[in-house]
Amino acid sequence: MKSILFILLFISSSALTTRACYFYPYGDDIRFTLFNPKAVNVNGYATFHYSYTSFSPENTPTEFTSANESQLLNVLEWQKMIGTNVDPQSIFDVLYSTKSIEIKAHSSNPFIRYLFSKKKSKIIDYIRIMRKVGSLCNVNEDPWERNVNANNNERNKLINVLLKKCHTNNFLRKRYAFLALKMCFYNFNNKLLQKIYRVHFANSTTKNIVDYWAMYYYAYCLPESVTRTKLMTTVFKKAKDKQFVAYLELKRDTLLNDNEIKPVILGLQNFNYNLQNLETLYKNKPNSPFFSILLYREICKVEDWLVTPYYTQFHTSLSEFWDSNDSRIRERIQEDQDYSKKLATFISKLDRSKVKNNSLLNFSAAYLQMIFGNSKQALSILEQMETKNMRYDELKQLYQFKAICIVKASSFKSLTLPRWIENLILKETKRGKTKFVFALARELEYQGNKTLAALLLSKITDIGSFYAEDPINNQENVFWKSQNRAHTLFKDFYQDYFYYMDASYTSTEIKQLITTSQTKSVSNFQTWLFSECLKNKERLNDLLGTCYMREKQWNNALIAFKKVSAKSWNTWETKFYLKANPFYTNTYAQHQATNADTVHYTKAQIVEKLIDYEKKTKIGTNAQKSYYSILVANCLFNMSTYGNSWIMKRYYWTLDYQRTTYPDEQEYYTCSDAKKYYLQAEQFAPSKKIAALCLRMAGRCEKFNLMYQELVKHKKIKDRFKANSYYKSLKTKYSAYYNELFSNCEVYDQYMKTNWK
Amino acid sequence: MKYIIRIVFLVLFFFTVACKEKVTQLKHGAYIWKNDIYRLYDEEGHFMKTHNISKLYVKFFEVSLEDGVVPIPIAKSDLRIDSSEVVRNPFLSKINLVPTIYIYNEVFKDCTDEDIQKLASNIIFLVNKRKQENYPTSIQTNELQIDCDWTPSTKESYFQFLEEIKNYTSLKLSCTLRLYPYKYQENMGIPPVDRVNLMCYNLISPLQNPNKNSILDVQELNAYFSKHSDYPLPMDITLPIYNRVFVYRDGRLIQTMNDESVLNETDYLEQKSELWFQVSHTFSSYSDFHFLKKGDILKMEVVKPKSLLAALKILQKHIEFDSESTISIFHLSSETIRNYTNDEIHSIYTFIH
Repeated sequence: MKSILFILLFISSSALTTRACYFYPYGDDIRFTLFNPKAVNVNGYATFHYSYTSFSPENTPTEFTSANESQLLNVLEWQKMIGTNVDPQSIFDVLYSTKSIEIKAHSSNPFIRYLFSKKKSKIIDYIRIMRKVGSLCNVNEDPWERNVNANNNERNKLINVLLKKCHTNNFLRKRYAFLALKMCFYNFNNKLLQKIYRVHFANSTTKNIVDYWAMYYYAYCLPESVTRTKLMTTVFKKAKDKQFVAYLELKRDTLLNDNEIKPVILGLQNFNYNLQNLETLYKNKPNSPFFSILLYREICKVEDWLVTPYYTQFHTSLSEFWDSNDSRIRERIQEDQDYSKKLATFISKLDRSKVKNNSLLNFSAAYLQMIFGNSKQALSILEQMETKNMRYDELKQLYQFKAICIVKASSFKSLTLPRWIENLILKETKRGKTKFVFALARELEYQGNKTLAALLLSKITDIGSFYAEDPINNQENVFWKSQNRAHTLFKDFYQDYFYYMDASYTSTEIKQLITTSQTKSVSNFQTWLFSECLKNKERLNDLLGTCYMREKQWNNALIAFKKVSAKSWNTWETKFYLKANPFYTNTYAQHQATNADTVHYTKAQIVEKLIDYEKKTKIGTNAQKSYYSILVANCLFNMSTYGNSWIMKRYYWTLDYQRTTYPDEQEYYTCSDAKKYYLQAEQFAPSKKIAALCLRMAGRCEKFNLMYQELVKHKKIKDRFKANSYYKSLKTKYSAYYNELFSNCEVYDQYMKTNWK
Repeated sequence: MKYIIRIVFLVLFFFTVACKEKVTQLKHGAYIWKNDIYRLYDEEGHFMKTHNISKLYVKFFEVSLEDGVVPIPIAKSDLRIDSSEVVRNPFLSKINLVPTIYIYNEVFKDCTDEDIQKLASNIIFLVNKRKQENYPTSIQTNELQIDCDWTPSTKESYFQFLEEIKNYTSLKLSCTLRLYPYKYQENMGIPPVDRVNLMCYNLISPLQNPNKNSILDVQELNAYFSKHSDYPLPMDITLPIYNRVFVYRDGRLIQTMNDESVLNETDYLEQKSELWFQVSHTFSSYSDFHFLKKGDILKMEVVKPKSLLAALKILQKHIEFDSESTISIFHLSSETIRNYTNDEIHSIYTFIH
């Protein structure tokens, strides 16, 4: 028991801070997104996709399968020069792969073998040098600073070699010159860099991707000027792999009056409403590839502002630190909705033949209607766009949106959904697409189908996942709050169905879930759907019993707790917290161990005894009534936040007051039921001594009530002791015992040694 | 004969007293631990001059593992002192600059003899390079300090490293010593260095006890001196003069401020207990770019001169100092020294005499 005392004290002392040690989701962790860029042909601009971190710069791909547009253009140039019979992947590997490649006649790389077979020694020479240059472009030089100049010297030597080789054919000349220019960049040799650019690139009439790469390095080293902005704008337009770094160099105040790039840059820099730039770009250049990315960003913004709060009850990913004030958030949601309507009108008026991205326009229009709650309009758009030749990613997106719309529009009250939606749920859960399934569960919950909602949640979250640091099975993580903002754990959000139900479901709803999960399933989907709850039926019965305890339905609680096998009470939490004697307290004991802790009950045994003792408060002699009233009162006190058996009503304990929506919220903090029984015990007390003790114990409960009143009314009571009417009454009615009852710590045990017959 | 014996005793007594007087004159030192300062600010220079600082411990860099494998220097200090600055402030030439290197304990996990040798050589190379590049020759360096929170599992490698480093430098070698290895010498070992610097702060985890000041809790400090323990190496001591404010929102720690000036905003804060405050109205503190919301809870950890003097009383009682012993403050920066008056700092430096 000493260990209990120590651990309880530790918990109580660290309650304020334990939460600080745990992960709290923010930013993209909470951003709820269902709109897949792959479905709307904007995947090539991943750098500019909307996210909490503004932009996510990409690394240069080293695998052919993820090659970017500029790399492919370069590969194409090589293929054109060499001949189309060499496969592009082997060229890519030579140019970009970080894997070691043997440059010899029997190389495993077909491109190298081809060059040797055709005796292309000049190209082989170039490749040898090019791969060496790659290793010298590494910014991460010796951190111990021993060899800072080593690379500089090496690069200087190489620049001379490269420049000497610039006399070869035009294809290799530009590439040698570019490598030399890049070496100058890393050596801070701006003078030579500019010279190389002027000689080999500035007047190039037929520009290819190498020209634009050289242009970037050249422009980067120029001072702020119109020329620099002009060159960076060209790089932004022409070299996709340099787009992001060029974007960073373009300042909004010095942008050129380019009718395409100016609204694009201003639009990318704008994290607020961006309709104006979209309109300008559409007016100036409706077929610009940037129009799609700007529009996709805009839909994703709206999604973050409106969908994230709707499904998760978190504020938008951007609001966490600045305006999490609830009323401001509500106002802003209204403003965002008004804006989204303008955006929807704008999309509806676009000339599709000019924009050339029907998929994006249709999905955007449908999604906005979904966000406005107009599921039927959304469905109608989605159904019109459904064709046989849709791409796989488009189809997936279409079905997900359709499923959400149908669930939203149809108010399903049973456990059955259209077969294709059930199949989609099975598939998407398997793929770890938790957010889609979560959205469906949330829609069902909002409609009142809490059983099906909980069953779906049980399939995408594990009971234990609340304590897990890593997501299970690489699935998307979802964090959400309850609608009534209950705070029942050390965090105010949930990531598993069990603790969420504890916070938001009534006993009737939990009972319904348990019963349903135990019925015979009528389909494979239902077998799958029920499996998690079936597996955890004992824990769910424990939850049900706990709910009944909060609702003071002791008989029902007993039935539920009895369904929990003895083995289940063997978990460390229950073994640990049920070690204390729930029917004993004294004038001061709260969580600490007492001499009476010689028993070890299960939850069912506690309730059984409580029911039995409660019956005995009404029968027998007055002394017996008084005695059992004290035992019942002690147990009720111990089931409050101040007692040793709080685990009968809660899954988490803290020193702080936490606002929950549990039905016994007030009782848990004020001990009002315990007080009622102490007062009943006083009424039947066999002696004045016992009566005085009962009033002392009732006064103790009143002390906690006064503390609670201070907390909820935000008003400090000047002298809590004086304000305690039971202590006053004790002094008036039983003055002979008053002093002893407040000065002797062992008074409870001494007074209780009386004749109770 | 009796007279002779008396005279001999008298002479011995005077010698003892004289020696004791001599060894308890502690030198004054200070740590500079920031990465982002390029030169000493006037306030810092003034502090050093006023309080006669003779040892300046400057964190040159930290050593961590890159990709969990290779030790590399990180958080390199950019502090520079030009020779012209020494000419303007001659007291700087009297200062002994102690390059201090913080090494993460992981560095010593699973390392071979060769790794240790390489690490020692790299550290000395970089220390010499930085000293040469950033400080004029008029500023002397006689000592090198290694700071590492070693554990029993890394003890062997760490001590081997300390031995190894002596092969690469003629500087005196010191290392920092936390109170735990001070108290549990048998388990933690005695590092093979010329002297140790006992760091008397951060005794408990900041989040461990809501009612204790985690930077310096005198009661906690006293617990480390429950029995008299002679440490077999000459010892310096260091005391904290920095403050820290923890900000909790919705029950979670959202920010740690190293400047408690926010607490001057008394109109917006309600004191709940000795260390805890609650924000009563949302406000922005532009002094340190903080945005605090109504309901935020602040834990203020301020090291008061009273606590420092109480700590010194304990240290004086239990530690034997020698003629080279230094008392230092952690850490010297224009922000931290603003919290104390000159008299308060003076009383801290001169408490042990």
